[in-house]
Amino acid sequence: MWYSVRRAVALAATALLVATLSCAAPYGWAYAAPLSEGSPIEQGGTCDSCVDVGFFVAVVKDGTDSYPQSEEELQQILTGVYSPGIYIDQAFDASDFAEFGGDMYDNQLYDLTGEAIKARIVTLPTEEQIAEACARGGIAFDPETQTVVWYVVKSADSVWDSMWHIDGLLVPKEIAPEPGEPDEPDGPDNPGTGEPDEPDPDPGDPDDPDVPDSGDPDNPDVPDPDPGQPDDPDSGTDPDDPRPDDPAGPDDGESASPAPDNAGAAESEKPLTSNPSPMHGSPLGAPNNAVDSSGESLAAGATSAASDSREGASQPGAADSIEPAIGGEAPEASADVSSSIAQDEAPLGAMPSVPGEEPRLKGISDAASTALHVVGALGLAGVAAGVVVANVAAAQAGSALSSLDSQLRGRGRGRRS
Amino acid sequence: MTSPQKRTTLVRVVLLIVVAGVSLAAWFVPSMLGAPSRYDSLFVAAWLVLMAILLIDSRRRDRKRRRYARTFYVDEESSRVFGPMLGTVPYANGCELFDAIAVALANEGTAPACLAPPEDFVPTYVVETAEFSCVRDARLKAAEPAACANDVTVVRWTGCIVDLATGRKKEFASPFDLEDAFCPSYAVSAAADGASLGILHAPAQQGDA
Repeated sequence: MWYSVRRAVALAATALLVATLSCAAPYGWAYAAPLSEGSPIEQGGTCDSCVDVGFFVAVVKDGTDSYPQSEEELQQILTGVYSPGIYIDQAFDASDFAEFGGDMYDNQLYDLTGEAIKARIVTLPTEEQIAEACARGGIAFDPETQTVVWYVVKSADSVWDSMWHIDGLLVPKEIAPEPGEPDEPDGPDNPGTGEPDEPDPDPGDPDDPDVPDSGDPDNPDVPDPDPGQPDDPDSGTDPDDPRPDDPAGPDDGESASPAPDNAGAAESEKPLTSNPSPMHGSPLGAPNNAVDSSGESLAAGATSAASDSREGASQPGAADSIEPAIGGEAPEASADVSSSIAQDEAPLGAMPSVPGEEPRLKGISDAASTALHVVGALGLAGVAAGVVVANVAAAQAGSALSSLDSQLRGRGRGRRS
Repeated sequence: MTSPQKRTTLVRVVLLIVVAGVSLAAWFVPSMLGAPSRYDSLFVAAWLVLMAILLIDSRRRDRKRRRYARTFYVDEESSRVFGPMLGTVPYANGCELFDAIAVALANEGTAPACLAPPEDFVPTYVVETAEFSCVRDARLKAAEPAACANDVTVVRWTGCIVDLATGRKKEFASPFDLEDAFCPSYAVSAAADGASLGILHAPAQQGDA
């Protein structure tokens, strides 16, 4: 009897554990994403939709005296030089992206004024972080006179990896659209201009016909992949950068160049200086036209931040997998930058689930997801409970029959004696 | 396992699988649609392991229960047989005893258990069944219990007969062996075995058979 009671208690405890785990899993484990310290919403507890982000500062041409009001104007002032990435965990609230579906490889939210971006940024890079990144990239940055307007956020996803990055324009404070918007350091003093004339060949597009044609990957005519696409491993920093398009590779020196963060391959040769180069990566169309250098700079940032929590950013494989999508448009982009930009102007793109991060909801609402989890948990717990009950019943029946057997055999032996 | 029992077991297993499948689908659908799924696989794997353990344990317990349920106690003095599935049944001769036990085993799972033997019931022999299978008459409905020996044809029946008076144990490997023990007149060669074991050795019963 005592054995049966112990068995029943053990089975009941097991069933309770199953039920508890069933209910706890979807709410406790799966949704609790710890926030990084200093997060504005830290008091709120958790940020389910926050993602890790790499911030990249884009250098504008020296002498820029007005803030761009359109993509075309933006293209005019971009140098294609980007700082290394500033990686911050849980820095961006991607919840708004959930309702969008569609392109898996190019999702972005673009707002030149920076308002829409800033509204969703949970943790902004500090002036020190920006200064450090700029220093690493050889970009002059004066927080007193310059500021950064974060104007585009993108997510590049592949099967294995996903990266989020936010690009910001390093512009003089006086031309910034809204003084209070970016808290970042300012300093128009030196808009480090990268090597616009020597944009890197599109690393992301090995198949890019333009590149091979040019024979010079650094050829400025060859549009750069999206600077915002960290998937582009920095050719300068990453010797492993798969760049089939660099066959000619005369300028390939950049790939060997240690210059980690400077996208511009030529940067290795020329330190960042104000160099008004007509061709610069489109912040939006980064994947399409993009000055190669910009893409590299991002990649470089990703590489340099490999030690950071963002592992994906440093994975070349991920970058490669994304490349095709980018590269597919590269040729056109090189031909017409503005057209490529137009393509990129799509509003919030779908934010596919981020491997290793909190996946975004695509075709199901939170409530429906929760309901299904609850139903599933209850069903699984019910099945387990049913088996447990059957076990208990079998145990009780077995024990009763066993005692009856002993009793009857005892009677028979008693007759013999 | 008899047909009704198989059917009952099959229905339960199918029901269990359906519920589990629906539950798992409900659990995984959000993940497939992009909802957070970091620990879904881990949870389901743990659940599957737990279920496997529970089912194995359940099977072990059920075997134990069936082993006792398939045991019959024969009181030779009062010519009665008792079994948890059979209840207490009087018999006139060994062949009736054999048929009664066979029918009880064929109805396993459908007949209610009876755990109350008469107070004056003192078993002489114990018939333990290790394996039993039979073919029910085709005219019987699926859930209809067999009424007599003609409704079932025993295919396999193994176990042993224990003489509680002497403690001797005689194993049987087929229904014919057991039939020989209960109805020695059916087989001349088996009469000696039955007599030596002391099972249902009344001459009148032999003649009856």
